[in-house]
This record gives sequence, structure tokens and C-alpha cells, in this order.
Amino acid sequence: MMRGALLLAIGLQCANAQTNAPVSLEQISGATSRAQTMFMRFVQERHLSLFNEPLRSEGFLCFQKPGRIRWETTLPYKSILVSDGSGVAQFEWTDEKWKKLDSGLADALQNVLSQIAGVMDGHYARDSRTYAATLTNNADELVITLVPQNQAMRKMMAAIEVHLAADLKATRSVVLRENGGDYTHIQFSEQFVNLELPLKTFDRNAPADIEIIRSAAQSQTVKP
Amino acid sequence: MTVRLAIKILFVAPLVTLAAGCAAQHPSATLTVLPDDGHAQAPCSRAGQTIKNLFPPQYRSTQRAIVTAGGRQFTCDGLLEVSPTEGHHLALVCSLGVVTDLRVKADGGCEVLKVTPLFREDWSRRFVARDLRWLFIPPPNLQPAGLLADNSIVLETAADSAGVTAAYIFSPDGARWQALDLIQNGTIFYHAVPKNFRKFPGTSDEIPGGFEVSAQSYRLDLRIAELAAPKTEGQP
Repeated sequence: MMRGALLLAIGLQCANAQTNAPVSLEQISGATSRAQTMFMRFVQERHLSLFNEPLRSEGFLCFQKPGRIRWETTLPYKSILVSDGSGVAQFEWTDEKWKKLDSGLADALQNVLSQIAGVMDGHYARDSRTYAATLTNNADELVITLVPQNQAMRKMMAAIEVHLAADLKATRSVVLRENGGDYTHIQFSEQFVNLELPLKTFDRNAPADIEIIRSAAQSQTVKP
Repeated sequence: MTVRLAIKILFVAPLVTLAAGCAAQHPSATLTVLPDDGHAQAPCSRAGQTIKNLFPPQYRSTQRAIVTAGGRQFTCDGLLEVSPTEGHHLALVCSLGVVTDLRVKADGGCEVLKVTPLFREDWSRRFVARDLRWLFIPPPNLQPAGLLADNSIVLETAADSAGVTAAYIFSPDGARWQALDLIQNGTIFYHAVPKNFRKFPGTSDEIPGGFEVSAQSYRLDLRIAELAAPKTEGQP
């Protein structure tokens, strides 16, 4: 579900970058840090090497400084993971209603969401221990390739590619490459920044309906 | 907290709970089956056909699971591909990647195709393969066992090498699968209820849209989010 955003997050916590392009990681970090709020749609495909077709899901990602995150899957099932900055909650749509889970992963999920928030804040050039990063310019986009420094992590994740628009105003996609040929591709669209999000977007007890948030985003038309 | 620690918390903790928490909590009821006086032959036969033809011979399914263990809840996705030749191929995927990838072959054998740092192989066989085998694969050797007090039909397997029998319970007319009990030493240690019967693309009859499982050390709320089967001849 939120693996893509997670690894986007932890992936960008890097330094020691070998920059081959005129844009530096610090510049990317600076550009990202100007976003106070974000709303975007995602389509995630997990390509499993032993399966013919990918495991596909889609939904929305919301962010508000400092550290409010909401990752909502809308298809093929409904699920919400939300942090208001001080705690995390998980909801599942079952039997035609939202059910709040007594999550056994609260601490881990809070940590994950905090890291995402750190990236959204643009603070990803501070940790020099986690990833070796390479920044390259393609024709119309920047690609940050991150390789885990930790050997145990490399057993799970070979590399992470973060594809950014050339003007640094949007994250287009993230590709998570695992050992053995599996990979996850997350495509982002409908990206809005610095919009006013509805009051209960990050509420841990009764989060606002995603369609209300989406309508609010579209009505403000604050695209990057 | 490091990501690696988070991974350990994510996967190892609940499974330790699963593995260690196998005290006799629930379910622990017994199943009282009354002998059939001969009037239930037709419903029994229909029940046999119901379970045999419940799922299409070939399909692809996306599932969502909520596992409750030790009072806490955990979620994961399942991707299931089924074919008469390849058997039932299931991958479980969590937030941090593939948990397990296994196949129950057409001959009933279980093959763990991928062992990941997140999940021990024996856990895949003990828990995941068990759910897959009993919920999605009709056993070939079901025999009429009798009726329940409400006239529900009971079909039963012969005991396996561990002394476990499976009792499949159907509506009195044999048309609807209602429950499954796994029984050892006369005690039910695994109880599953199919729910939300509905049609999916490529299925002509209603099939379960999910299951609620209560086992000794965990509960499973499984939803079939998507299921697509290739159309067969005769289907519109």
C-alpha cells in the first residue's frame, strides 16, 4: 500500500550524492520544502516475477506540514492510513462501513509516516548513512537512483528510482527494484500543492471523505 | 527506529504471537452431527457439487486480509492465480514487500516458491497454505457425515496423518456453503464462515466474497476485492 511513499521517503534521505546533472540534491530538497500541503493521486503496480500480471491499486496521498500524512487506497479495496503528526490510525472499509483497526504496527507505521513527512518537508539531504544517490538528467525529467548502504536492506531492496519533473514541481513516479526481479511502480497524477485541505483530512478518529478532499483540491486548482 | 527494526516489528512480532499463542483459546466447540436417516441423500449430493464447483477452475483474484493476533490487527494483500495445471499460486504482500509466495499444486502438495526475510517458510506452510487449501480448494474425498440440528448438511473428509478432519457445512438443500470446521481429537480448532456471496466477472454463480476465520491463535477477515475468470463456453 504505502510502500512506495515510504521508500520515496527513506530513499531521499541521502547525501554523498554523485551528481551528474546541473541540479543538485540540495536544490531538489529546497524546491520540495516550499510545499506546505500536497494532494496527489497514485496508481501502484507491484510486478511479481512469478506472476503474469501485477498487483494493482490506486488511491490518494495527502500531506500537510509538519508531518501530517494520509495514504488512502480506493481500489480495489478501501483503506486509510493517516497520521496527524502525533499518532497514526488505520481504517478499513468492511461491511459497508469504515472500521478503525487496533493496529499492531502503530509505532512502525508512525515511524514510516514520519519519514515520509520528512521528505515532504524537504529534509532529505541530511542523512548520509542510508543511501548512495545518483542524480541524472533525462530529456524531460530528473531521476534520483538510490542504493541502500546497509547490506541487510540491500537484500530486500536493490534500488529506488525517483522520477521528478524537470522543473522539480512534481514527483512523477517511483520505482522500487527488489532483488530477484520484482519491482513496484507508483505513478503520480492530479498533483496539487499549497492547497487548503479540509479540516478533518488527517483526523485519526473520523477522517474526512476522500471525495471531499479531492473536490476541495480541484476547486482551488493550485497545481504545481 | 530504523526501517529494519520496523520490518521486524511489522512481521516478526505478529507471527511470534501466532506461533506462540497456540494455547486453546478459541474456537474449542465440538460439532454435533446427527445421522442421516436417508432423506438427505439428494441434498448431500448437491452439497458435494456445490463445493466442487464453487470457484471457477481458472481465475485471478486480489484479496485483502485483516489478521488479528494477540489483540492487534495487521493487514496484507493477496494475489491468487488459479489454473487446473498450475494449481493455486498465492503471494502475500505487505507494506514493505512480498511476505510469502507459495503454490498448492493440483496434487495437493505445497511448494513455497519464495522465502523472504519477512516470513519463515514453516509459517507459510502452517498458516498461509492451510487457509489457502481449506478455503479455496475443494477436497476430493468429501463424504456425507450427517445433519446438524437445524438440518444443515455436513460433508466430511477422512482424517489426515495428523488426525485432522474437515467438516464442510451446507444449507439444508445443499446449495449454499455455510461454514467449515477443522477438527482434531473431537475439538474444533479452526472455524471459517464464507460471506458476502456474489458474482464476479466470468463467474456464472455466486461465490464467497470473503471469509471470516477463527483459529486458535488468530482471526482472519479475508475479502476478495477482485476476481476475474475467463469466460467458458455457454456463458453469455
